[in-house]
Amino acid sequence: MSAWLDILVQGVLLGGLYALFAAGLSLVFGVMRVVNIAHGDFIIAGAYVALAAGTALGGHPVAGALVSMLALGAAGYLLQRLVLQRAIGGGVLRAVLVTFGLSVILRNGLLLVASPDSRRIDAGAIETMGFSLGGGVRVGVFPLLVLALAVGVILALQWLTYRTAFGRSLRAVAEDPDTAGLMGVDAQRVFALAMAIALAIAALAGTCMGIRTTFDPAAGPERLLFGFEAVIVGGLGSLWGTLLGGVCIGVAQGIGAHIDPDLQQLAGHLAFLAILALRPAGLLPRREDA
Amino acid sequence: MLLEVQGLEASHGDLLALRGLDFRLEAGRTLAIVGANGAGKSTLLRCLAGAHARRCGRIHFEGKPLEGLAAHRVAALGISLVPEGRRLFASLSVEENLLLGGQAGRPGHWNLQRVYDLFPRLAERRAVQVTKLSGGEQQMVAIGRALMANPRLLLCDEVSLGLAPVVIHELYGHLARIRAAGTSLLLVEQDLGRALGASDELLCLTEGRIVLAGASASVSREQVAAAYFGLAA
Repeated sequence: MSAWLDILVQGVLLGGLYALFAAGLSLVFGVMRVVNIAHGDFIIAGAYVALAAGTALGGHPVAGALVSMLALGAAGYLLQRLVLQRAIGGGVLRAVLVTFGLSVILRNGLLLVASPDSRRIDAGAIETMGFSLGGGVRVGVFPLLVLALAVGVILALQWLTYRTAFGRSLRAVAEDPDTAGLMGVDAQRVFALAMAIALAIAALAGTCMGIRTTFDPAAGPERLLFGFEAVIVGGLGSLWGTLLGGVCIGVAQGIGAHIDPDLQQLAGHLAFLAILALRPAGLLPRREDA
Repeated sequence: MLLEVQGLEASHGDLLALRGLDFRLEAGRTLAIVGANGAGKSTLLRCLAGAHARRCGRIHFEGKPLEGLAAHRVAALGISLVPEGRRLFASLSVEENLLLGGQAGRPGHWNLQRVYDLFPRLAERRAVQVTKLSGGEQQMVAIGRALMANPRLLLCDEVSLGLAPVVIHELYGHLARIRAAGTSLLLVEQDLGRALGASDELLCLTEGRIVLAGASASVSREQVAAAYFGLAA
């Protein structure tokens, strides 16, 4: 019994990381209806920037994470303004192809700059800290912190989207960019800011991932897949759904790994397919899509 | 001169929708534009609002050229459109739709309170999703949303479309009050009687050309009807 409780707890904690992978993806899809295929590679790039900046700034991972978030946020703004904006409005496929190309460029660029060796970010003592919940369930402080960050990011995005003037523009532009423009909203600026926020979250996710596990330049597509599954399972465009989706994939992977370590990823994918078959709109679909 | 249009041409794909329009509008006046479906009325309004690219011609607003300006920049200069079919944001509440209109940040007479004073029914329903409103109430939101930008020129594209006569009567009463607050109006209207009654000047468009122009008081219904159907110039 307690073994299953432990699997559940560890799965939920892992789900926090997956929700962080997915949050930026969910935001960009919700606003621009664009699936950013390069999102996973941006997560990896964020990890590398955090590693390099953290090392340069005296080995502090928080400083590294902040620099990485600023750098990727700025990159996201410019990327949207200079590249992706041209791909929007030409059908779904055009944006998918452009971000697919970006993904290949990023992965190979990282290979060139950072070498194919696995790296990790050293966060010091917090990595091994933990406490016992009793019954053989042990909770790591850092995984709990990641889950708390994921909840915080979702809360912040929820507040931004539904409680601020920028969020109002965001929702209006998502629904009807043409009319939003007539009302004085600069849709291109809104898109660029949304992409900046999405990539800043990707950088945070990358840093957390780099502290939890090792990473290499080729690890992006798998992060994209986990994030993508979390978004779909939770329901497209629903932020809380994305968190729930991340937790579902995390728990399913935990169960799979308990049966056989080789089954970890397969179990996540099977859970994804099962939920997609039973609830095609996701667990928490947005009202208008329901 | 508030608005000056010279040689304006615009197309939908290969189809020429506007074939060289020239007209002007002085500040504080109301211009009605009538014409059959497909005459180019909505295209004209969308060109003025910066939402439709012109092929050639010039549009000057308060002496400034509008060439190449995106819709949100035109809105910031003081031209607001109440689009055909209302085009409200269904995922936003009544109040959020109104606040969105005010995001251009132009100072002036209109604010949330003044819009609610004009349309008290909207104040009661401020937190409701716009899809739950009646057609007339939705049109009030569309007009209020455009007013929130404090336009110098308000473009209204068939505000009476699909509404009951009593609601249309009420809406035109509101437009008169908006005019009295100092806003110039450009009305596209199917109902000829309404168009003549609510305007100072009238333009009749047929197949993208102006076939009749004059002071509303001096134009007879017969003249407009003849021009409308392309019978006379």
